[in-house]
Amino acid sequence: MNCAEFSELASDLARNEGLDDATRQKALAHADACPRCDEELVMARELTAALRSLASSAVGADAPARVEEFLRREMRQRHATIAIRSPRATRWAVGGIAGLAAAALLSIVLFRPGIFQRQGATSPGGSASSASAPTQVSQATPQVASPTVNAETSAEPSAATQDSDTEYATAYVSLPSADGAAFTEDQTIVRVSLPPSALASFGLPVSSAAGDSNVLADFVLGEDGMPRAVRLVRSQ
Amino acid sequence: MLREPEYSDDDLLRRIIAGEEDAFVCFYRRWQGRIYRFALHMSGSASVAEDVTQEAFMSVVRDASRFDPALGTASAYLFGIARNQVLRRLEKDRVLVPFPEPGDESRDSQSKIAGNGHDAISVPPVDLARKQTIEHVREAVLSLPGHYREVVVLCDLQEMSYEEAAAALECAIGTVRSRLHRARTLLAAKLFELRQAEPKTAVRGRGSN
Repeated sequence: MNCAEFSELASDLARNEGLDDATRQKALAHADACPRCDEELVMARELTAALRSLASSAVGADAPARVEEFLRREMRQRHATIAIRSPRATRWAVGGIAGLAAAALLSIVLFRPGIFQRQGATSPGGSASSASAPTQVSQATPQVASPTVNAETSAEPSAATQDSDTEYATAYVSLPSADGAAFTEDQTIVRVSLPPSALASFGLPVSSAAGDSNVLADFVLGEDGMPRAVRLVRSQ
Repeated sequence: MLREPEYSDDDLLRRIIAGEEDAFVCFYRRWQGRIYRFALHMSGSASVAEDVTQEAFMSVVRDASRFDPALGTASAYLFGIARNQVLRRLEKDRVLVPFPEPGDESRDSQSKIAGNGHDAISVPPVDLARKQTIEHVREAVLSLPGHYREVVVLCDLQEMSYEEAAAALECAIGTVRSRLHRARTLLAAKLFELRQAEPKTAVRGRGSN
């Protein structure tokens, strides 16, 4: 081993890593015979010791406790969000929001029957499905109105009452989860049937004039499965 | 709470993906110290180290499923994230904040050594020569270019093997060895320079009085 070869190995020797026994013995033998390389090895070992002093000065230095607290909070929030977006939870969310929306619209319907518009055709989905298993009815581009506009622009349903296949519906009302999102042609509409008692179970005030009959509602779903808008439907 | 030795990193990461907070806490407590100290030695700043640690583990919270045990260890995964964060931060800041002195209450994480339960205890006193050596080494390490500094921090300060460092840095073992050799040569030169400068400063100080 010459001095150049030794120099390449000095760090490994000082750190006691990366050398097999035979190479180590050769390098140490060279250092014993070469004062200059021996001095280089001494300096490399001093450097290793100095670096270990620096490392030991920080032993036990941890991230402040607030980091763990923050991360645990994030972990809880994130997985709570994921849980509510799971298919099962989404179904409940649909039911819940449907209840809220239907309750709100029910109040309007009961006292403002004129807000239904004649649809002029049977619902593509046929009879309504239950609230716990909404049926995909159609894909369309719903015209969404704000509740205020909806009430002001509705047509009277008088002619429709003579046609048993005729369906009336309110305009779509945007839900908070829409968050201003635009509606497109490929969005899904599901129809659910909600009993007034189900609305009451949400703790919402429901007028006794609603009776026991289920309320039909069409929900526009976003890509994430969350409802974006709702309308009430009435078949004659 | 899950106990440390009972679960491998891979087990914990699987549980984290399933949303188990206990698994995350176990994983965090297992690794946070090493990640924090890596960032601390790389940046010289307790606040950067805190941010880097938080961001590295936020990556785990956000998407632990990105970790693929077939491609490397959890250690390499975490150090890889932390390294990228540190380099990005150093590039952005371009300012190295010196380590706080022991007893500096404004920098809690460095002036105190935290135990397992994060209960702080005082740093034991060190003698002047040792303290001076530590400060010189710290300054010398921080003066190294980033790609040399990281191998020194991983191999000499974190005591990783060449193989572990290579996995964390996503490079060949030979690259780690050669960079470390070069880094140590630069460190030795810097330390020599710092030691030479020390007596001159003292002489100037006495002469001015």
